[in-house]
Amino acid sequence: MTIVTRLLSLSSLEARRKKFQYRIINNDDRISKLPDELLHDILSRLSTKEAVMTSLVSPRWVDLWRWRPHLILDMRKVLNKTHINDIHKVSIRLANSMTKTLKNHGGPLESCIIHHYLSQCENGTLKSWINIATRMKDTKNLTLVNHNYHGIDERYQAKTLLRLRRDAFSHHSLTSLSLCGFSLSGPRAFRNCSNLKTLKLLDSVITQATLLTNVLAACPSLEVIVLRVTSLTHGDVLKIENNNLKVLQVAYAYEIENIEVYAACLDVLDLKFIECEEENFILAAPNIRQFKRDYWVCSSDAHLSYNVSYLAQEKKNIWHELMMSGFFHSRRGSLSVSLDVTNPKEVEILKEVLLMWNTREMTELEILFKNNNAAEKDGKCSTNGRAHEKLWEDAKPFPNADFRVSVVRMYNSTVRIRKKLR
Amino acid sequence: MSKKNIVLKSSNGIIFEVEEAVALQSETIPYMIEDDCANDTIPLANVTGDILALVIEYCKKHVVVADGDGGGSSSSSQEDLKNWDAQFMNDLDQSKIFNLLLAADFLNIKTLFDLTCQFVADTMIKGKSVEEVRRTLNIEKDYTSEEEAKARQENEWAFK
Repeated sequence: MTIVTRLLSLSSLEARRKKFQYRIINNDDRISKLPDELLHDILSRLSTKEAVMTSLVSPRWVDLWRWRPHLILDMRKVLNKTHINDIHKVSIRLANSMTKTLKNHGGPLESCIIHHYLSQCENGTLKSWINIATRMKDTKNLTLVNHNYHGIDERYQAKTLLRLRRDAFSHHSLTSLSLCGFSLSGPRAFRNCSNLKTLKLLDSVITQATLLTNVLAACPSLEVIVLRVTSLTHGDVLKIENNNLKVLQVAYAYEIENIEVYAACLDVLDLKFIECEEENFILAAPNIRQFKRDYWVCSSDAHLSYNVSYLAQEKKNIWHELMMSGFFHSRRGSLSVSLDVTNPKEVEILKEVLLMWNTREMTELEILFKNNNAAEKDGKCSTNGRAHEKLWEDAKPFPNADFRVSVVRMYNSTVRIRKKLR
Repeated sequence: MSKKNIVLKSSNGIIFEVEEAVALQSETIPYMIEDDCANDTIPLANVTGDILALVIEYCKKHVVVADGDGGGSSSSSQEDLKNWDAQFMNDLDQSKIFNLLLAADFLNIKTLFDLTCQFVADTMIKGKSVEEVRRTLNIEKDYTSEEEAKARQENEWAFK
């Protein structure tokens, strides 16, 4: 241990001692005598609502909720009980109160999720929330959900239009942004967004695909893009050109008939229910291109390509979480995976991915075995095959007896599958 | 392999001798061992004997025993440990729980700290009305009705 780190550790030890001196608790109201930091920790394990509610317990508790790292502001519960004629009025009052809560938070925020109503798009509240969350509270992950999404209904399309100032999302702390239920006007708000690593545009409408191309081009550092966007016009091209991109999910992208993806580092490509035909989908992504099967066999269904090795090295597997979330029903369609069967972490990931098909039959499964070179380097080529086979047998990647698949293709494989799959 | 023991002394002078692996679940103790003042016995001036006994009981249950292959495995299954943890917490009164929380924080035992915090959140606050929280935790209201109304107004959306 260097002198500096030793000094640091001693001083933190000293700090710990001081913090807990004379703190031994034996009165009746024991919890209120705990140090603030511990109470913050306890309150961060409750829902936002429950934590905020403790501000009414006693003056000692009034500020304690303000230090929780995650905030979820949600007006749905009240609005569901509100008469339809009053919703506009009530939502405005709730929104004002939510603005106060957001302002009162001690910051910085790890994540902030706001569920709101149409009125907040129109009267500038949304704009001010974004401003407070980024500029004042240094929020890392921001999610905004408008619960009055009416798709391409023109009346609503104008009302849900995200009218934001330039550079609205350009802030060093903001790394992940999720927008749900809006009409996007173009790249204006996304200018100078080299801070963003994850962008999800869900249940969104855009007048033409080119605008979306421009939005994505304004965020060159994106590693994860999730698009569930309807275009109002046919014909133009959605072009994604990004060498940092690792995960791309495109789903329900209606009216977008031409898609071009240039992404040298792409490891996961997930396509679901897109209208784009094979010849109109240009893909320049070597890790995905290695797969041999024809993607478009079941074009109306879904296809997932998964280059597993990169993900196994990831400490926090956010990509995988993303793949697992947001599926209200089991997956359909087909899967291509590339993995190293000698790496237990990769096999584990494959298992979890296969679980997504739990109750549906998979149309096609393609497995591309990466040559694990460790055994070959040792000059044990002859045993490699058997070792692989044993590993594959031991791994038992197929989740359970309910798993069904019509066609299995395997490449670079020395593994024989003995089990009858169907 | 010889097993090294560590001697811990509580604030009220009670001595506990435990295996090194048990004690080292605390991230604070290693610093105290390196500290010159703690050659043989480590004095824990902030932790009383009854609480230290609980901490040690927890650490003994959760110690990871190294097996022959060099890897580590816990002495009990995850399921068993979970049940044991729940029973362990359930048997404690509030005073013990909060002192245990302080001890877990001071000794920096992450899993015990999480367990205790979660237990307090789940059993004493979650799903309860403000009045119920006060009653459960013996908290005096201490608000005038004006102050309470103001606090309520601040975060109105959450109280509906």
